[in-house]
Amino acid sequence: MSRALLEVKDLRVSVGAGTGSRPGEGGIEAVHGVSFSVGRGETVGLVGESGSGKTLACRSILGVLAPGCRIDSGAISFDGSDLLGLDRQGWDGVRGTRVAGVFQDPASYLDPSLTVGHQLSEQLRVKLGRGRREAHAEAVDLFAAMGLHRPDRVYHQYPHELSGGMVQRVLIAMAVSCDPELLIADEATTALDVTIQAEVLELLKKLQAERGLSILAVSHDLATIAELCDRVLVFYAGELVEAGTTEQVLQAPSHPYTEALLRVASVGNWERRELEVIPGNPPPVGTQHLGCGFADRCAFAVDRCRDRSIELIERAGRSVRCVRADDVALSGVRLIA
Amino acid sequence: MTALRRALQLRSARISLGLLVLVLLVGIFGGWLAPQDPLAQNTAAILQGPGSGQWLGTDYLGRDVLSRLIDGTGRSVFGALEAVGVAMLLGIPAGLASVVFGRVFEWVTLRFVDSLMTLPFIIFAVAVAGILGNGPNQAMLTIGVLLSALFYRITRAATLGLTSAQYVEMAELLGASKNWVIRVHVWNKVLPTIAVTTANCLAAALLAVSSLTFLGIGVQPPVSTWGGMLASDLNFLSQRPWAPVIPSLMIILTVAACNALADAIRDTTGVSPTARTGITGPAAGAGSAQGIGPAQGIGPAQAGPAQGASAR
Amino acid sequence: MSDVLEVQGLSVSYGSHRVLDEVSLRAAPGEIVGVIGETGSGKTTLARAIVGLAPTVSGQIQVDDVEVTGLSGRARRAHRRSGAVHYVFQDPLRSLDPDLTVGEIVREPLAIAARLPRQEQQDRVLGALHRVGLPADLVDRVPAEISGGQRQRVSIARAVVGDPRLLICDEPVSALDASNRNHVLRLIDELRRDLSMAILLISHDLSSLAGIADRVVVLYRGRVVEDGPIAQVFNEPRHPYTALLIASAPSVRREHRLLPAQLRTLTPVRVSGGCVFADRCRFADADCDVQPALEPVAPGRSVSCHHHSTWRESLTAEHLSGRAS
Repeated sequence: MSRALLEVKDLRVSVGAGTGSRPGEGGIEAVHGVSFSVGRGETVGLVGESGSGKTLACRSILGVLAPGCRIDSGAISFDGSDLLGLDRQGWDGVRGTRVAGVFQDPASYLDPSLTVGHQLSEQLRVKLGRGRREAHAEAVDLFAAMGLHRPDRVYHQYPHELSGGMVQRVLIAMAVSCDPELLIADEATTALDVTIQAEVLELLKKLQAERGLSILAVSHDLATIAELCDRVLVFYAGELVEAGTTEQVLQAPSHPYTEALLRVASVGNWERRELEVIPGNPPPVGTQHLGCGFADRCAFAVDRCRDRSIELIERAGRSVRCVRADDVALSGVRLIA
Repeated sequence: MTALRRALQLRSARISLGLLVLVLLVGIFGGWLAPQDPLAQNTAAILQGPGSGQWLGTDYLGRDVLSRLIDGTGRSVFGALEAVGVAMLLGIPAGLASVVFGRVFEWVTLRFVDSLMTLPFIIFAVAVAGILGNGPNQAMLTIGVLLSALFYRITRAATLGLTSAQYVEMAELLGASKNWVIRVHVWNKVLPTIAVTTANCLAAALLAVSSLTFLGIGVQPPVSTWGGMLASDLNFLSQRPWAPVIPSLMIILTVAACNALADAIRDTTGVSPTARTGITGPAAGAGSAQGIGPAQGIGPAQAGPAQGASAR
Repeated sequence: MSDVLEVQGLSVSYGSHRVLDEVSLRAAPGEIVGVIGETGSGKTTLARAIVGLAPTVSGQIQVDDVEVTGLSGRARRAHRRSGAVHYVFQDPLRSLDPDLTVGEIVREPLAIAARLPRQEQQDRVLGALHRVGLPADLVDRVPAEISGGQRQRVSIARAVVGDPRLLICDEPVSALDASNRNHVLRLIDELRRDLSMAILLISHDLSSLAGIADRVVVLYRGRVVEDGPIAQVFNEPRHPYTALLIASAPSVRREHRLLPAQLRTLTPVRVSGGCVFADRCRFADADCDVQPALEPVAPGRSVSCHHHSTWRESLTAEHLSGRAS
């Protein structure tokens, strides 16, 4: 059995900790002991609402937590080696070369005063030691591989001259330029137009097929995750509440929250009807609670949902954090083809 | 003023405000507080050091320095207040109006203000004094007119930033008049900036007053002013080398207190007025899906309603 | 009953850049009309033009049979105060004054119109809050103290407090989470039933129209490419762009449907003066050098495409001959 590429064990992250003169003090826990893994060539999706902890988790993996956020405990290992203990030099060898990221709002990750080609070839020269001319040619090739039309022209354009979809492709090009093994895509398509979203998702799937790239995708949109990923991890209130393959989770969800998400997701029904809602609101970030965080909103909640701490139970390759997983019959969607 | 109240949470603000209130009180009641007549000369006891009757000694005409200092506070401070008052009266309405009243008015006032801003304070004041006569009000008026340019610019910048806010557009969509928009949505957001500018300008005006009286413009001897005292003290450095420190210290402390208060107001109103338009940063789209705890969505463009009104 | 909103041949330009070109649409009382478009489609400009925030080059806009295109100054303000049309912006964090309380915000339209005594204004405010499902004790809070979903409801409360005839919602749920989206959409649906308003729902995201919109207008680069009853248009699109939109939208059901790749052209070509979609269209040919007119193809449905009846066949043919990628 091959070792998983990325292993996250019992990760706890807190936010709102002090910065400045008293760094790392205080703070509330926003991720409560999350564990998951990503295998080679696999696409894994983290889905959940804002405040569910999914973005914090993947930022911890890349080591780019915002000031005031802090990893309290847990282990993150990449290809067997620990990521949490890395110093700056160690990270230079991992970030960008073995693990790369693309995020929402791509334009804010580019220098507006340099052409996009310059920025990509700079990366190639620094990280891979290419010569100037080599880097230029390779950059143009990369742009073409990302589906950018007239890549030689795009090379000389500035970020503001490109559309949102094109900028995101440039960033994906930069991310895969050093042939990483894992790509983390955090809401990478959220701010894009629908038609462009589809193109970028197709591009990611193509990269996965061609380069054996593993992808860890994060989104609040279950539909996007369903399209892209082999496995789905559902986050709620800082915890992992369900995990399994996409088919399993969507066709036969075991957690009421997953079922609720499926009910409210777009299912292509355009007739006039009463829209489904999930009553209530997710708890504020870091709320401490005994029992299930979803209990107040759950149609199936009983006393034992609230009076004890609930473990993530693994069974037949799936996991679920629900004491009533065996009792309740939940309905999913039928996946055709 | 909530801006002031919030600023008072900082210790620096409390100390500064305390000092300024003290100075103000001395300024108002100076005449009665002075232990001796500030004008009474005593040629038998000139240039004395601190002694039993005169806590700070006497000056070159035997007058009690402490009394002169106390008496002069009012003149210096109120001179500065007069200048700033004139500046606010002229500058703020003009700044507001330039945003609201259309292109022509805007252009005319902008050009006028541009020319005002090219004039060097002290030299211009001297020139005006030469033309209009050398009196305290003329000097203060001149400083006031020159400072009004600053208030104009800053009020205008703050208002401009706010009028492009979406909630202002919303008010327009509701059929609100410009008057309503300013009164309900703009005014209370511009106030903190004005408060900061006022505090800074007080400092600048006080320095200007002191400089002018130092040069003999405006208030003239025998009545005392801090600047005037400083000027005369410099003539007798060999006999009383520490003398200039006293009026200088008064000027420095008051100016520093004004600036510290301005800083405190600016710091505690948090972000600059431009950010109060709620212009969110990059993470628009699906909410602040950053999950980085306290919503980091608002990225204020720290536009320059030029805060530091350093003495010119 | 006559339409509340009638837009005919509306064209808007910013300088030399034409943002809207001959756009027509209508909305009847109690109807929700969705306007779908991506970046550059001009959908927000359309919304703004209807309320007088965009410079109209030509065309007419009538609200309740009142011509509003030429209004300016005093007349425009008077029309706005009449409260016939109200607007809901996308991001409540920006459209709500951060220093005013919820009560003051919702009361503002009534205060500006100044037609009702103060007490009655207060009552209306409480009524509006109740209608949008917000507790009355929120009146003294400021926007920063309430949640995103609540803020959007406050924005809607402000829009309906004066019983408008037409409500324009510009991306009302784009800034909201999954938990809140359907709540707000459901609310909009209820409001149009209870108050018989016409609602124009502008969106870039098809799912926000699902279940509540009656008709949809598809905009592309400033032109209407297709319009009609939403179920018909989205289940059987007649315009290749609409089909591309449907095919591109991610779905939890990986169902059999057209792939976006089948609809996209392989070699984008710059075409000017002709159909706005030609340069991305797989089915474009010489005919498409001429801008197609918006033509009715069925009762209540129109399409702007030269090949609206034939492109599907060429798709099937390609598929059969194995050339589809």
